[in-house]
Amino acid sequence: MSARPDVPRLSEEELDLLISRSLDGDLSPEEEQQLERLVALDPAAARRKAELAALVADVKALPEPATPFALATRVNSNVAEAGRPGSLGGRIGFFPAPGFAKAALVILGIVGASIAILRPVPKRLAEGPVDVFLYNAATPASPAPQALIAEAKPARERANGVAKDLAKEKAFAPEADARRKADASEAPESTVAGDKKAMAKLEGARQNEAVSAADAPVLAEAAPKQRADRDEAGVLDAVRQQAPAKVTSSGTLAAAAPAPAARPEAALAAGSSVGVAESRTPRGWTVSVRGDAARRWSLRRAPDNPPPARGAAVYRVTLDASGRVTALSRVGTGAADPRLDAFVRGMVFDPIAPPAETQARAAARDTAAASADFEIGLEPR
Amino acid sequence: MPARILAFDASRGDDAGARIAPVSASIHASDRDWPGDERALSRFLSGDVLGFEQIVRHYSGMVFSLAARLVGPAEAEDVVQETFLRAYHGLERFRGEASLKTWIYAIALNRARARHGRLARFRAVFTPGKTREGEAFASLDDAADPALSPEENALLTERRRRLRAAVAALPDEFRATVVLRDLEGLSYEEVAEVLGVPVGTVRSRLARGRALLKEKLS
Repeated sequence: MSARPDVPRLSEEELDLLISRSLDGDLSPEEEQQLERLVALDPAAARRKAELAALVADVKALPEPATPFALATRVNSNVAEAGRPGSLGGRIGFFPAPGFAKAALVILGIVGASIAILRPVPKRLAEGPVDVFLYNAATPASPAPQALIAEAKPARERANGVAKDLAKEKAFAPEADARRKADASEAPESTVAGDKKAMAKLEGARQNEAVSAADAPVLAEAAPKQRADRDEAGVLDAVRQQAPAKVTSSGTLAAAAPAPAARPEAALAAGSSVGVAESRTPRGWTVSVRGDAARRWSLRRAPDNPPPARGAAVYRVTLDASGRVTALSRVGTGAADPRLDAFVRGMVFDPIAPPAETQARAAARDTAAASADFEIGLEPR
Repeated sequence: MPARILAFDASRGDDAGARIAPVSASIHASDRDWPGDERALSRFLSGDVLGFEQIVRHYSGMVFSLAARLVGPAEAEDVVQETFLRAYHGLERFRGEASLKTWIYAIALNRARARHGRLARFRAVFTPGKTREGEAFASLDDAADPALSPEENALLTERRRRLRAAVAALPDEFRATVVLRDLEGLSYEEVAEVLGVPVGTVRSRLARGRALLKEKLS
């Protein structure tokens, strides 16, 4: 600002700061003298100081807004209504607006309801109604109605899913598969199973003798797909070599009648399914679980004394938490058969794990073969 | 304990004015009885509500003035209410490191900033281009000085309006510093306490804010 050597050169910001502090009386005597000298020698600095002084005076002279009447009284009244000091919210500096509690309750209710509705149900304590389809192919006069075959499709799809799961299982556990094949070769009288648990399960099913592989029409429709799955999986190669057994449409364990000569698939493919079924398993029944329940339940075992096969029957049953039948009603027309009713009432079902869980279990089986739990198997008689 | 009386709340009512509401007030409490920060504070902390009522009576006018200059008179009373409500709940945590005045001013400044931010966003959407602060101060700036001629009063009014608009247009940190120092009369140290910045920052912000004001007015 100054060309004189005895006056320090100041930038505009430095000069403004010095003037501003001077107007507020914040300068030390030495700084004040320096500013006075600068102003005396530099007309621009003097003009700047005068302008800023006038500006500050004008700002300070702005009228002050009048305080509203009884403002303090209203404030004290509101403060008294707001509650005592030391409340939890006040201690942490949280002062909710009016209605905050109600809004929070509503939001919590919505969130809670959403969680309750959307969360996956871990396990059903009871199930019902579940449609159970029993069909006996032994009576030529009562072939399976197409409607019933169509209704059995979900169950067949589930059977295919089981076969695919087995394929995955095999892919995960080649050792277990090899062991299964070894077991099958060592014990030709038994059905194929992966490990001891599967064998135990298979044994229970054999003892029960509840279901059979004689659901000829259903199998005739399902067989190509099942064969494809089996070929793809390669799991049931040993099955074909060992016994004339097959997977029922429900995907549950099925015990087949002794028929050493013919494989059921071949018989079915040849179009003589009824005859083949009749000759092999005159007392056999195929049990299918239909509808949505087919994805959740599979037959575990049935009573030891199946009634003589007469024809198709459909039951609607209610299951308890352990899969036992607590109530049943026969669906559709047909003569009541107390023995068949008792047979169905004695059935026990197993819940089916979801696919993700099945994969996880397959992976677990890969490392712990002892825990293998197959839902498919067969038994020569 | 203060006596509970019926107070006529004239400022709330319009033509009816006429809401008579029971309010808590002390017959004896007035600013003349101001015992000072320390005694009022200790009285409040010992459980006597009158201590806080004295604090409100002493500081409510100053807080309103600050709030009116920051957010306008129309919103200033709400800022005052929020400020003292917060002070009431937080006074137990007040450790006396700053003066009670700057502590309350700091709360008011924060409340004003929060409200001003909300208002600014609201107005930007619904009434773009309008400044309610300027309108609210219009009657204040129109007040004529009887010592001046009508022409001089008109010039004075115009100058006040421009000055107030220029202050309102300052960036927030400069505006708060100029208002606290030049309009509220706080010292540099007090301004530094309220803003939570060093005194040197106050000096530089004040100089910069005044220079910006000068630019806007020239």
